[in-house]
Amino acid sequence: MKKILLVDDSKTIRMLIKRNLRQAGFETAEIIEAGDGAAGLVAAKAEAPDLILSDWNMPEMSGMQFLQALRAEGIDTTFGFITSESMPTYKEQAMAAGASFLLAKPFNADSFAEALGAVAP
Amino acid sequence: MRPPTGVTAPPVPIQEAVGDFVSALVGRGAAAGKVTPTDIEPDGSHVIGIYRDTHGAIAAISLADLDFAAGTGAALGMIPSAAAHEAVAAGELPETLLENYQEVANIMTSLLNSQNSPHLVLDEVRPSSDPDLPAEVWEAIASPSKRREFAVTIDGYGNGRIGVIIR
Repeated sequence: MKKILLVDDSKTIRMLIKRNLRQAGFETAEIIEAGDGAAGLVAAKAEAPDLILSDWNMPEMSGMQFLQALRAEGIDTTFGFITSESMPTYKEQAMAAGASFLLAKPFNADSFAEALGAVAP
Repeated sequence: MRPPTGVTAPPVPIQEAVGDFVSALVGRGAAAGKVTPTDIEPDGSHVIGIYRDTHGAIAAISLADLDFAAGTGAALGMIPSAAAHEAVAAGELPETLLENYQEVANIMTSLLNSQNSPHLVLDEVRPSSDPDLPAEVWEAIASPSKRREFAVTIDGYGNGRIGVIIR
């Protein structure tokens, strides 16, 4: 996993995710950050990340809209949600739209290792 | 208005869930115990989180005292506990701690959502002294459908109180 695009409107949460990624064994990955889905879409096109991690509820463009926009443009990068929306219906929607996993907040390094270990090439 | 069949009120979290939630969120040991709810005044001593359902109605409210808001906000951002203590002494959260606490309140929706209840999202957090707090907030505080409050201890960050009101 060389390059990871991290999309969340909270700087604090992005910082926590980066810390947990390091603790989960992804310390060598290059992390690119975006503050909402629209900025994430631009970054995904420009940077061609190996993995996209995105919040669900964000201003401008939600995580679901972001994922749908990616797939509509033929970008099939592995995508995972990291969100406080932990109900099974959200997970079902995420998977149906092409996400590989939904990691619920609050999270820790173990949950990152488990979720990403299943999709890391 | 009666809710549709099969739809229940948002769940009121229990103390074990609150303690586990805070511990998982800040990555530190934490414990919560149920306490008698405190009076909430428009004096800035609390930070109020407003949760709305999919129709935009206020369905739940969180009531954090400054100790809880500052402590969790600091612990979440790995900010030294001294900053939280200074904020409490000043009677106001600086922007960084307030932003961090907003994330705490946002992730707290995971305690307020269930498969059979209306889906809630955090709308905003405001100090209790904010004159623009919606009137429904004070109505809900005055006559809650359900209310529960917890004293929470976070390793290295002291004690605080968080309450939840279901309208």
